[in-house]
Formats: sequence, structure tokens, C-alpha cells
Amino acid sequence: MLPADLIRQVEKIAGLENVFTDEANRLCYATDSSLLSQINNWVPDLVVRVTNTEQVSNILKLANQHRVPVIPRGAGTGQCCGAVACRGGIVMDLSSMNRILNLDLENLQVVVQPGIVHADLNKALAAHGFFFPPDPGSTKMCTLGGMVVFNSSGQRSVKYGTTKQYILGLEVVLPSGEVIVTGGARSRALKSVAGYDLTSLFTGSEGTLGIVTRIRLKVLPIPEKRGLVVAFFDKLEASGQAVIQVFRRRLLPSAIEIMDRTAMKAATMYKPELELPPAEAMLLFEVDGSPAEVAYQAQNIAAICQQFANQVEWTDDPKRLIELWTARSVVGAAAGRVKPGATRVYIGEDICVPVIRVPEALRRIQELSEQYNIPIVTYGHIGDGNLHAAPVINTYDSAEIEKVKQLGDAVHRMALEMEGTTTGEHGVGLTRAGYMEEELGPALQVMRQIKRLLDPLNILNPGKMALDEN
Amino acid sequence: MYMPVDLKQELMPCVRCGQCRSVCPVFLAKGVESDAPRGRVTLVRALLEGRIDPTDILNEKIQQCLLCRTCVQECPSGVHVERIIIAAREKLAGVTGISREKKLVVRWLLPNLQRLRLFLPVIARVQGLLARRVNNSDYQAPRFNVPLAGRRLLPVLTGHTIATMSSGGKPFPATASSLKAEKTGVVAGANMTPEAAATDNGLKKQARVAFFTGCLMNYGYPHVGRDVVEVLQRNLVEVVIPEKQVCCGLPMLAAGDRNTFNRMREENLRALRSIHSDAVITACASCGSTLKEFYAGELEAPIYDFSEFLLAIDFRPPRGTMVQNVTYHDPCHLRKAQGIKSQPRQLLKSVPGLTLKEVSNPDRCCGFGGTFSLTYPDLARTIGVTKVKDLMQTGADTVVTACPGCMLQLASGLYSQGSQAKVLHLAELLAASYRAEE
Ligand SMILES: Cc1cc2nc3c(=O)[nH]c(=O)nc-3n(C[C@H](O)[C@H](O)[C@H](O)COP(=O)(O)OP(=O)(O)OC[C@H]3O[C@@H](n4cnc5c(N)ncnc54)[C@H](O)[C@@H]3O)c2cc1C
Ligand code: SF4
Ligand code: SF4
Repeated sequence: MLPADLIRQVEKIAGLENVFTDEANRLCYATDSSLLSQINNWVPDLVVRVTNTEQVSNILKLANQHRVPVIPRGAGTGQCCGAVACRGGIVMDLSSMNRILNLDLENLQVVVQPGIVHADLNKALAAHGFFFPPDPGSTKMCTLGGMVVFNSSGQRSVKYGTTKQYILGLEVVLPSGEVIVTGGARSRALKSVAGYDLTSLFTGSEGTLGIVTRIRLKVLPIPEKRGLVVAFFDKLEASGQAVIQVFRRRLLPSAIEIMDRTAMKAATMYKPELELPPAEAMLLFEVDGSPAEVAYQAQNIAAICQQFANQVEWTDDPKRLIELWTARSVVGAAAGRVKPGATRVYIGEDICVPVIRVPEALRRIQELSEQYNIPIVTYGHIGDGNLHAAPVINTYDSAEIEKVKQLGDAVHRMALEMEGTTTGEHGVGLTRAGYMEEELGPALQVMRQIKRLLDPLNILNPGKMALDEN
Repeated sequence: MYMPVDLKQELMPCVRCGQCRSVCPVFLAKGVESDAPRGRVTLVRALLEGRIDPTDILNEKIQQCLLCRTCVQECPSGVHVERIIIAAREKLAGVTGISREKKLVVRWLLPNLQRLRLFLPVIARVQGLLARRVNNSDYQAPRFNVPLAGRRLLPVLTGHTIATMSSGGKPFPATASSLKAEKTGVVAGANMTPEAAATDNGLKKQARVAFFTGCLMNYGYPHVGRDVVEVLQRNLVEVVIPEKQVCCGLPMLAAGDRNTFNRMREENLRALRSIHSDAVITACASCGSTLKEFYAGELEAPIYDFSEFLLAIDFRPPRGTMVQNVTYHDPCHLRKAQGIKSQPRQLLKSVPGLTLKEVSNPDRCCGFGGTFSLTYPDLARTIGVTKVKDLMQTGADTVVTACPGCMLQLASGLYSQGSQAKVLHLAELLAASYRAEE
């Protein structure tokens, strides 16, 4: 329970209609999509919806005085229990700060508020022929603020990289309530090396160092055309070989996606009309650029795949493109349907391993599936080694929950053992905090020192990212 | 008997991905998590697991859903939010009871409309005291807050029902002919189209259908119902209006009152079974989705929406030229609940002279939601205005739709935004084009 006095002051700052202390409203902010948040009951003490930087700043000042945790939140689509009040406190909903402040397209940049939804931004940009390239699967719902502090990315990161490559500057409210702008206080330049790269520090900080209230983003012109190569492989390992050969031949697809046997089965169960041929793996290479470039790349990739695959098709016809992508785009949703009376859960869902070892990782995940007797559907971005494993369980069965927690742990440990990481794009949050000592080594101590410096009272999103010593 | 769903199983597939946030009209208007489908699902789950008490706020969150199923269409995991909400409302009705206002509507008014229709002409006569007609349209604006309707536009009542209108009889409680029309249910009489007369004289008819009219169409928009009948007759379909039909029951179900719903359902099944027909037709999207979902297994005749049926038979396109710019509003209960998107458009395109301008965001709900708009008039209006602005953007002079509920809501919305655009049911436009042939 928060002191009544504090609640009244928050109400004064944000307006009565934006402050929620009732049980029903608070409960809706107790979870993101992680399994961990689902099996706990981390209901915040208060939820506040903010609409401007000043409110954010004043609330942080207040929270500092009262030593109350503040947990920033965008759309709550995170998968690692990042936006959850695991130590109580105030959840700050930033999703109403969703305006585009400046479309500065001559300068290849836009300035937005953090609550804008990714798809809404790209829709507005598309009207002018531009786009913000990182393309998370959660495009329709996740906010730019969430993307910045998780350094999110998507299928096209093979060619276009991750969110951080596009952040030119940020307005950040520090835990003390002080407001700073990184990347140059008034700059509209496309690059700058003035000072420490604080923009990068806050990008990927998971809401533990400051609250992002304004984002200056670099955008790119939309490529003229897209093409797609789809290939089916008898042997999982052959798919890995094809990817390596494509890179060796100096071809650079925008995305390379893999679906293993489990994912193909799930997609077919969901949409039988897909009629996927029997295979151990399916690869999708997306290429983009000028029409000539697309044809050149697609034909060459198709030719390489011919050597390893038993069925290959390429197209730049927009209609066929959509048809061919369908299998990949439905697989996330299809996963939960492989076992009646069960659903997919998000744990161990984001490992990233060296590209060359993806086939091996896929095999090992299937071995774990058998060992734990839990169906797992696996698919992911083989172009950068990022794999999404989707275990499917009955979430009302506490024994299955215990088992899947162990399975998640095994998947995370496997990734570290394979010279990979526990998270390629979804973040550490609480779910993966336990692996940070091992994964980061002494660098974790430096992170903790930075955290202490900026947030001495540990009020901002405490408990996450293994930043607390205990 | 409709039985409650297995809530636990319905809830499980929600992975809390939040994709439904991108489409829910209530969430988009209000902006906090508890107004999103994901929030509602979370609340119902917590209620079921005893982690939360049925507080007033929780109740409000569960009631504040249009049952528009925009989220259901969007949800990658196939979560049936509307079933979860209906089941939760039933549970809550058992604890907190149903609000007085809703009770009045779903327990008294709607179940008894059949009997109350005898008062229609009286109401038709005095309605001028309560409301004034707007711009020579078929709508009137209440002069003050009318109980159960607030300040929305209402159709001008003529005292007719579909049966009396279709058979050319006088309104109730009048002549023998109108009473006969109601009794026999067979549509015949002065207004019969040449085609209907021809089928009567032995010309090959395509089918004989039972017309499930729905309350709002029968009493508020009988002329639309008459046009449905006419369009069917023009296509050599014999139309019968079973007399003893009552409300489809959706308002009861939506209020969590399963007993009254089941009573309505039984009465309707009896009425529909009492006559032989090749199909049951409705031209109300909400009735259609309710019949298909909760009646289908119990009837021999298949259930069709009006537009769906026309294209399932040998449809004769109308030839009368209608020079109009129209846009089409997809009723949620047609597009999302019945998957009917292309048929109404195809029918519109069959009308000579007509230009169809597509609206952006065709999935966006109009905000009517039946009793929702009685309970939350302001929210319904806010959602409606967003929709109406999209429709106005098309520059169309006529908004065509396929549900009387949407008609009511859109007419009010357009009027509030100063638009002169007319709202028509698809059947009205088709009928007008047939009539223009002569
Ligand atoms: C179906 C699905 C598919 C997904 N696909 C992808 C994918 O392809 N690639 C990918 O990278 N991710 C993916 N994600 C994960 C998730 O969508 C992203 O991490 C997204 O960026 C989170 O955004 P959000 O607005 O939901 O943030 P939230 O979940 O609300 O918050 C995420 C973190 O950011 C913090 N935070 C939020 N806003 C701010 C702010 N303004 N300032 C400071 N801190 C803040 C929170 O405290 C929290 O720690 C997916 C998720 C789902 C459910
Ligand atoms: S209802 Fe569907 S779309 Fe909404 S959060 Fe749950 S799974 Fe996602
Ligand atoms: S049915 Fe409509 S109003 Fe109800 S939660 Fe879904 S989208 Fe929102």
C-alpha cells in the first residue's frame, strides 16, 4: 500500500482520471507475455497513465522522495517480465504518449513520443515512402519506447540491424527526475561523436536507467521491390550449409528465416491448405532493392539452394510473396494449437547462437522436447542465429509448469554452452536475470556501478537485469 | 439448450501478446489496459481463480464490451473473447445481478414486443411530442433524454410491421387484411411484385424461405423488411414471415441472462419449425450471427444472411440505374461473426450506375453494440464518431450497411457530424433499383 499522501500527489500531477488504485485496473498491469509474470501475482500498488515529460519527471521525483519503485511500461508485449512490478510500486503507462512530433524527412529522421505503436509509425512513414526498418513480430502492438529500451529487432535484422542503429538521440528522464537529451541537445544531425555515447547506454537499458520520453529516429526509403526464395531441405544440416554459402557468395538477403519440422507441422495443422512438402527444414530468404537487384539476388540464392535442397521456388510477384510468407507468419500463432488443451508459453524463447550452429541447436531443442515430454515448436531467424522455441503446455497443470521452467533453463544453458546468448532480441528482464553472472562475467559489475550512479535509491524498475547484487 | 462454455479452456490460449490492443474500439477510445480485450481476459481469469472480487469496476470492465469480435478476428491464438465475456457476465449476473435498466429491456420490453406492437400506432401518433423529424429523413431527434434511448436519432415509427407493410395492409390495430397478413405469415396482397404474382401462378420459384425479421427491423425499419421481401420476390423466392417469432435472444445472452435467452430460442425454434421452408433468411447481422451460432443444429433449413442467400441462388441483378456514390459499412456481426464481406459488395456492384467507395479501416466497429449503447451512450457516441469520420472521408452520399443496429448508430453519428449522407440497408438500394426498372 502506498501512503495516501503520495497517491494524492500523483493524482495532482497526472490528473485523477489517469491514476488507478482499484484492484481490477492494477491487476491488468501485473503481466506481460512472459510465463514468469503469469505464474506470479505481481500486482502494482498504483498505475498512472502519463501524457507528457513533465509528469514523468515529477512522478520520478516523488518516487525518489518516497523510495517507491517506478516501472515504465509501453504496451506490455515484452516476453521477459520487464514491465512488471515484481517489487510493487508504480507502473507508469506511457502508451498514451503516442504522437509523431516531427517528420523531418529531408533529414531522414523523425521525432516521436515513446508510446507510438511500431505499425502506426511505419504506416505514417509509408505515406511518404519511408520506413523504420527494425520489424518485430509484435509490430501491431509494441511501442517504440519498448523497442528502444529492449533494442528490439526482427527478421530483417540480417541486413538492417537492430533498433540501436537507428536511434539518433533520446530525451530521457533520469531516476532523479532530471531530464536530459542524448545525441546533442538540439542536434538534427545524422551522426555525431560528441561525448560518450549515452544514446547507446539508454538503448537496451530495459527501463532501469531512465524513462525515454522522446525518440529521434533515423528512417530509410522503402526499397522498390521485394523478392522471396523458399527452399525445403531433407536434412536440417543442409539448410545451415545453404545459408553459409549465400553469405560466402557475397549475397545479403534482408531476412533468412527457418522453420524446422515441428514448425512446419504446426503451420500445416493450422492451415492445411499450405500443403508443405515433407522436409526437415524450410528456409525463406527475403531480398529487396531495385527490380534488377532483387532478381539477381533471388536467382543466385535459388541456385545455391538447389545444391542442398530438394525443392526451391523464388518469386517477386507480390501476391505469391504473401502466399509463400504465410507459413512463416502463422507459425507463432499455430504453435499453441499443436496440442489440444494446451497453449504456448514464453520461456527460453529467444536464444541466439552462432549461425553455423543453428541446425545443431534445433536438434538439441528437439532432444530436450523429448526428454521433458513437452512439445516444442521452433522457428527463427537463421540469418542471425536467433531461435524462437515455443513449448506448449497445459497452464493449469502445476507439474507441467514446473517441468517447463526446467526446460526453459536447459534451453538457456544450452545457448550459453554453444557460445551464444540467452536473448537475441527480447531482453533480460526478470526471466533471464539469473544467467547474467555467467553470460556477462565481470562486465555485470560495471553495469551495476552505472546503475548505482544514475539510480542510487534503486527506484527505477528494480530487480531486473541482475542489477541488484543480492 | 445453450449451455455455458468451459471458461477455463476458453481462457487458456490467451498468451497475453496484446495484439488485440491494436483493434478493440473500446480500448482505442479509452486507452488503459483494463479496457483492452487482453485486460478483460486477464480479469475473467483472475475472477475464475478467485484472485479478485467482483467489484463494480470489474463489472463495468466486463460490461463495457461491444461483443463486436474485432479482437477475435485479430487474435492469432484464436481466443473467443466474446464467449468469455458472455460467460463472465452470466457469472456476474448471479453475484451482482443485472442492472435495472438492462432488466427492463431484456426481461420485459424485448420478450413482449410482439404483444406491445398493438400499441405501435398510438406511439406513432404521439411521437411528435417527444421528438422532431430531422431534415425530411425517416429519423427523429428526441426533444429531451428519452428513457432507454438517450438523445440518439430514432427511426420515425409508422405503426407498421414488415408483414402489414409487405401485404399493403394498414398498420395495427387495424384492418382484417393486416391481421390476416400477420396470421398467415404468407406475404401476399396489393404490394406483391409481378414476379411474386407469377410464382403464385405456377412459374418456377427458386425457393420458399422463412424470414426472421428481428425486432429492430420489424418495428423500427419495417420498410427495410418490406424491401427485403421485395428483393427476394423479384428473385422468384417465396417469402413467409412466421408469426410467432420473437427477439433472437442476443440482448439477453449479452446481459448474462441465459434463461430468458433459452426461452426466446425455444419460442423462435417453434415458430420457425411450424412452417416448411428451404431456408431461414435474416437481414439483421446480429440476429443472423445468433441464429447461426445457437439455433443452427436445431433447424432443418439452413440459415442465411440476406446477401449471402441472394448469391447462393440464381441472382438476377437489378437493372434500374441508381446514380449514387455509396460506401459500405461492414456490420461486425456480418463481417467478423459470419465471415460475410464480399457478398454485400458484389450485390452493390451489380446495381447499374452505382459507384462503391471503400472506407479505410473496414474492420472498425460503429459502436452500437445493442444494449451497450443504452448503458454507455457517451462511449458509444465516441466510437461512432471515429467510424463516421472514416465513412465521411470517402465522400459518399449514401452509407449502405446490412444491419438495422448499425443503421441506427450511423444515422445518429452522421447527423451529429453535420453530414447529409443517407444511411440505407442494402435491401433498400436493391429494391429501389428493381423498382426503377419499370
Ligand atoms: C507475439 C510477439 C512477437 C514478438 N516479436 C518480437 C520480435 O520479432 N523482435 C523483438 O525484438 N521483440 C519481439 N517481441 C517482444 C516485444 O514485443 C518487444 O520487446 C517490444 O519492444 C516491447 O515493447 P512494449 O511497448 O510492449 O514494451 P513493454 O513490454 O511494455 O516494456 C518493455 C520494457 O521496456 C520498458 N519500457 C517501456 N517503455 C519505456 C520507456 N518509454 N522508457 C523506458 N523504459 C520503457 C519496460 O519497463 C520494460 O522493461 C514480441 C512479443 C510478442 C508478444
Ligand atoms: S486475446 Fe488473443 S490477441 Fe489478445 S492478448 Fe490474448 S492471445 Fe493476444
Ligand atoms: S468484442 Fe469488441 S469491444 Fe469487446 S473486447 Fe473485443 S474488440 Fe473490444
